Amino acid sequence: MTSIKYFLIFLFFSFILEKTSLAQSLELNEEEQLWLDNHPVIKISYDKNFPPYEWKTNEGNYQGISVDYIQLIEKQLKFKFKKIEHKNWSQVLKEFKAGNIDMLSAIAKNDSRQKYMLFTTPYIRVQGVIVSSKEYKNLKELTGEKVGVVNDNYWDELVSHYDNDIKIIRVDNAKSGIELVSIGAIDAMVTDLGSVTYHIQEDSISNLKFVPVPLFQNQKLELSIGIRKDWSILQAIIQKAINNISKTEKEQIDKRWLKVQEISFWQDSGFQNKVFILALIIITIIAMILFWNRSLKLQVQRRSDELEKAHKQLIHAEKMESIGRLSAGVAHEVKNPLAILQMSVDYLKGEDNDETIITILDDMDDAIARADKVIKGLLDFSREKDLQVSQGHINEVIIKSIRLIEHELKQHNVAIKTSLDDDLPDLAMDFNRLTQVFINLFMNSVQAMYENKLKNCASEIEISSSMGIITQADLLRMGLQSSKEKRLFTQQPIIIIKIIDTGHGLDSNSEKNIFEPFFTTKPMGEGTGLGLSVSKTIINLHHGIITMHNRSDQTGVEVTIYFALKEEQGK
Amino acid sequence: MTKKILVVDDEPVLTKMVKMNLERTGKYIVRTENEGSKALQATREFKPDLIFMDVMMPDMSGDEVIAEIRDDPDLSSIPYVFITAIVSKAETEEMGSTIGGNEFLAKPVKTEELISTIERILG
Repeated sequence: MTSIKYFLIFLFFSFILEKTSLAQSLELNEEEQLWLDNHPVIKISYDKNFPPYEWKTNEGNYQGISVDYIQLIEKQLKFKFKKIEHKNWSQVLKEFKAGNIDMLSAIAKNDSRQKYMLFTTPYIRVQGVIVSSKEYKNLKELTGEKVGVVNDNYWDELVSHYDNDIKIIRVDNAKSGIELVSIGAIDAMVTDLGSVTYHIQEDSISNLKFVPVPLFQNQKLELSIGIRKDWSILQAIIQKAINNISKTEKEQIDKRWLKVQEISFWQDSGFQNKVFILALIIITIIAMILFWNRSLKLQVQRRSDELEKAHKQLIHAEKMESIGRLSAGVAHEVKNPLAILQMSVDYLKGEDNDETIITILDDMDDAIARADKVIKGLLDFSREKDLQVSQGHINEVIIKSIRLIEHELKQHNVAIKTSLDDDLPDLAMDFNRLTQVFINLFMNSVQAMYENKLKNCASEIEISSSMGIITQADLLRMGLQSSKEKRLFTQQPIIIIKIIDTGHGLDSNSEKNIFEPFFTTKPMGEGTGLGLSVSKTIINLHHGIITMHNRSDQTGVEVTIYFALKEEQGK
Repeated sequence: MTKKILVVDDEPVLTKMVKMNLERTGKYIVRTENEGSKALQATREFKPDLIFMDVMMPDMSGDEVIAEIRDDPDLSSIPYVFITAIVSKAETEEMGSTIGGNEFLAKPVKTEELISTIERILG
């Protein structure tokens, strides 16, 4: 990773700041002080574009290591240098040579410059490097290559004097040179490690390598303050000031500008971006896994629910099957003795009897009828699978069923309210079986309202038939299993019949088991517990679904029957 | 005029009670038979005006016996009513008292039902 490479390189990044004595008050001699007093204007120029040493920010301020040094020197001398600005470094040098500038804040010493300039001792030393996308080990390997240098800077002269075969490309500043290398316009750039790391970091350039320039003795860039040739006294003054800069102050400057040294790879913006992207990917993956997990869980839950339902249905079917088989056999065996009893009672009734015996015989008659009723229920059970199907209108079934129980309704003061949709399509149905179902349901309602009179509450059965669309709540109640069933009931409008009573409702146990064979809430002897079980099977045979629930306001029971419309229905 | 009624059922007590109930009215003479296989012979000898025939009997079922009676030209015109234990009363009502075109009564049958059936058929 590039960021780690920066880090490692910074370990040998040799910014060596001149060791000086501890800070003490600056002592200028008389001559020096006098000279300074006589020269109120000393013109200094910075390189506008030489980070991290000195550069002009977008806000128009100069900053950098050298700038800080100059400020420290100014403070010590209680003197302000006059800043003179020029277009670029080349121009600065030109103006200096022309005598228009007195002092340069950061300049490397070399032979040609010594002709027109005095130097303080270097206060910055930094490794020279070859920056490239290839790995040039030394300057020799640059022969014949296009090599960038900042125009007129230390490296320009160094490389120019090294080998005439190097194609020198002079650029305005290190930044543009590094960019040219980065895009492959030139092969390499010779500059200092400080500039390189600064730009590579600032501009997030990641495709470049840099190796130290090892061939020269002067392979380090040493920056000093340059002073015009004729002002040796100023040179001495500045040198004193530099020497007087304390170690702590130097370290503070280091800290401020060489933050790169301290930047750990995890603080690097490129690294952070990568971590961010990686984190994003990981989070996405985790989210996907969680989502997947959850959907799997839901699926498992759904499947187990379905399995449980299927299992329950299987048990139900088995129960029905064995009841059917049993009842046919039992019916025959029980009906014969019942017939004997009936004949015997009939015979005894024909004799001269006193009151008591007549009452007893009547009771026996009732008992035989009751036993017969149980057997009848069992037989209905064993035979419910055969439907006699013809096209019919469900409203007619409802109307006929109401007519058949008119007597009961009147007897128990039950009002009937109907709201039947005449436009319902015909259903393939077994008219008698469905009539049996509706009578059963109505009679259950009537019985549930027996006590309404005592509670001073009106007894009413409300029956409606309509075409409708299934709601989510309906679906939940219906407990459909297969997607085929669901499609059957949800793809198109279906017939929905509702029967609502004002009776005592169901307790939770009843609500759960109401359709189970032999489940009854009626007193002993009054119900076989088969009526609703048979009704459910008959409705199911008609491709219908029946549900029974307490009304949400707890004022009775609501029965809903859904008939899906399909051609093969009822067959 | 008294009518002759043949009652066939594998329950001796039942046939005995039917006989007692019907004969007490003084309108009927009743012969009982408890085995399907003997019913044909009984019919030939007794020449009943009407037969009450159980359906499920161990040796020979009621409809087999009736089929044989139908095959005998002398007996084929005798009306018969099945008395069965394997249908419920509700079904009797639904089916209009016929199974496969045959009239039938569901057990347990009341004496008055027997008499009203006889009177309806024999007039």
